[in-house]
Amino acid sequence: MIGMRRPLLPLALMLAVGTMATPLRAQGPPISELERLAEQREERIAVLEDRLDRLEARRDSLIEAKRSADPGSARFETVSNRILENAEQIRPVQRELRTLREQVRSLKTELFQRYNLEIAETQTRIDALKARGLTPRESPELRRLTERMPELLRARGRLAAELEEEQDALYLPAIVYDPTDTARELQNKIAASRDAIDRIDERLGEIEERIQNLNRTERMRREAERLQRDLELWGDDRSAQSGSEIEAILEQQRPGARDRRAGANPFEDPREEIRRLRGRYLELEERRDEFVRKAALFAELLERFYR
Amino acid sequence: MTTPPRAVRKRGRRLGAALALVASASLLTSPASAQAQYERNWRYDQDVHLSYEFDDNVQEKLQDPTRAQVARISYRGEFHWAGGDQRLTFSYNGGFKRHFGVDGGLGGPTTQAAAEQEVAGDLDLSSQFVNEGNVSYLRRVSDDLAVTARLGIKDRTWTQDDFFFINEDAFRRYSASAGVVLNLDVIDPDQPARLEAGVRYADISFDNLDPHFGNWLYGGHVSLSKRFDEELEARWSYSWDRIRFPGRGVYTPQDTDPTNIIRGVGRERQEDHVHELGTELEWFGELGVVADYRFRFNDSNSFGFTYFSHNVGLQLLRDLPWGMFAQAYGRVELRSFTEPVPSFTGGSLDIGETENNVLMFRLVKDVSPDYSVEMRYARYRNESITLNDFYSKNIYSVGLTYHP
Repeated sequence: MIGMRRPLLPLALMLAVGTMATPLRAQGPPISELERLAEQREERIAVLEDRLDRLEARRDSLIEAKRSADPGSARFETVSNRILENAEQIRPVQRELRTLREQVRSLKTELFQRYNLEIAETQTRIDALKARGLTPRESPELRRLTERMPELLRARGRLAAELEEEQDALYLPAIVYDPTDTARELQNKIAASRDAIDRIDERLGEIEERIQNLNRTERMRREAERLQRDLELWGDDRSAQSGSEIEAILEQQRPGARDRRAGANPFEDPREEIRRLRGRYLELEERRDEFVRKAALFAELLERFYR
Repeated sequence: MTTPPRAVRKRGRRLGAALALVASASLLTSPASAQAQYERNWRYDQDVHLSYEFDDNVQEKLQDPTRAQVARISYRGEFHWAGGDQRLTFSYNGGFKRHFGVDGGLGGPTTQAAAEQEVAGDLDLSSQFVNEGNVSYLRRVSDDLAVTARLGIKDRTWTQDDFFFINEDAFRRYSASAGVVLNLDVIDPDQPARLEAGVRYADISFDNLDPHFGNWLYGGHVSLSKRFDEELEARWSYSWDRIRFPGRGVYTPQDTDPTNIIRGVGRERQEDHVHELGTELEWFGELGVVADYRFRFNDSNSFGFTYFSHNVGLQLLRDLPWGMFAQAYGRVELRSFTEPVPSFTGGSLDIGETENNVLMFRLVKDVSPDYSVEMRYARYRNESITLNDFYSKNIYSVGLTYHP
């Protein structure tokens, strides 16, 4: 979460605006309605993604079948037609998915802002009640607001993480071979494939840098902790005398001193993050190979086209 | 609290062997490759470190300083499961220290036989084993709450039953702690923070000097950590501990003989209350910096033991070309006793101010992704309160680390 500074900037701005906009009243549908709308769309997205996966799998097998068929044969023509039909089915699904994702994103951004407002209003009200000398025990409203505050903060944190994750996702176009492609279309597909390769390369570089930074931090923590551990064994930190064992136990129990490497923050695991990034790296490398193959294929088709 | 010294020593050797065996077994039986665990819901991280060091101890007013060779092994294994929600950590840190180089004039009193040998200028120095083992458990109860617990044991044993240095007596220490960690990320996701609170207990028994030094303590701590960006984290802490010395009577301003403190059968027992306020800064950028400052106030009911100290530490870490890594560490403690008590050689009383300093340089070279070798030099200069004199020590060390 910390490493994604750029995606967090808009969120930070929204947060700042939300905090400053304390006197503003929330307008539009209530939070629950916004959440319902987002959920509804997410369910539809899941259904469409499923459908798209099936259609893409079918497309791949049809392309494979076409490669093995003799050009000009009846089977070649049938498969070509099926590929066309399949492409016709894929396009609207992709369009709808794009629209729905944009809608969800905009709903979540709105929700994030609404939570900001709600948090600011709740805090203002809590402060006002406290300024009147009330305590949660005396005022049911103050008690209710104090209890609600952590829920609001949690909900906002969850949304921030989701929005950040979406911003981090790389959009890669689905470039499909179509037997009716013209030379111009083939050129566009080559350009789109190369553009995707460039964007993947850029993202791979970012991931590599992030892994390097995490590894460096992890290494430094490990070495700092190892040195401390070595010092503690003979109580070497100070003069070697019996009393130093008291020092040693005090040193050992110093908050955070003992377990810099992993236990220092149980809610973060750099190794897990590195593992996740490596997984993402491999995934993107595969996608890169795929686009390299596609670019080569379209270039070959274009060459044949002019031959 | 007190245990027969012989039994402690024998048990110490057995314990050391057992801990070393557990460490080796963990290493041998653990999964061979991290890659194989890639898709699993659990993982096992480990590293093992072997080192040899040469200690050149210099007591400034002695002509024949004590020297030592030390072989160390440390092992650490972390078993994560339930998707990282639970973690069990085993750590073992142990070593064998062989002394040599003394013809006579050793600073502290040893046994009668050793003292006779010392006078004769033919001191046969014994060796010692130090073993320390810890088992910690951590459970993430929810996204906002984690609980921790730790059990530890540390033991020093001399190979000759009748031999010990006054400043390095054989001992056995048991310790335990428990704590909670609260995740405060929800307050400001951009600057994660956490609050830790815990309690601890420790009991230490010495073989020969238990009446002087044996003690038990309990205490607690609270700390707040906050990360300001990916590279910078700060921590503020407060801890309180109560240390009780069951064998030691309180010393009073009227006492003229300092050894009264160990005779005081009818005296009130010594009890210290240690308050410590600390702050620590970690910055892991191109250059890693770990800096800390701690203020400690030891409030003792025994005259002459109350002190306050300022403790400043600085650690610099940096990646170097060709797979090398450099580290520099320095620590200075300025300790002031508030009540003057005459010094004596058989106890641990001192007056006025003491300074305890250490400076260390370490160079690590990665020879493969899994192995690295290291060289280390350290210099200590302390006002040793037992030897009542400045005490300097140079340490030269080479080591090997395996961290798959």
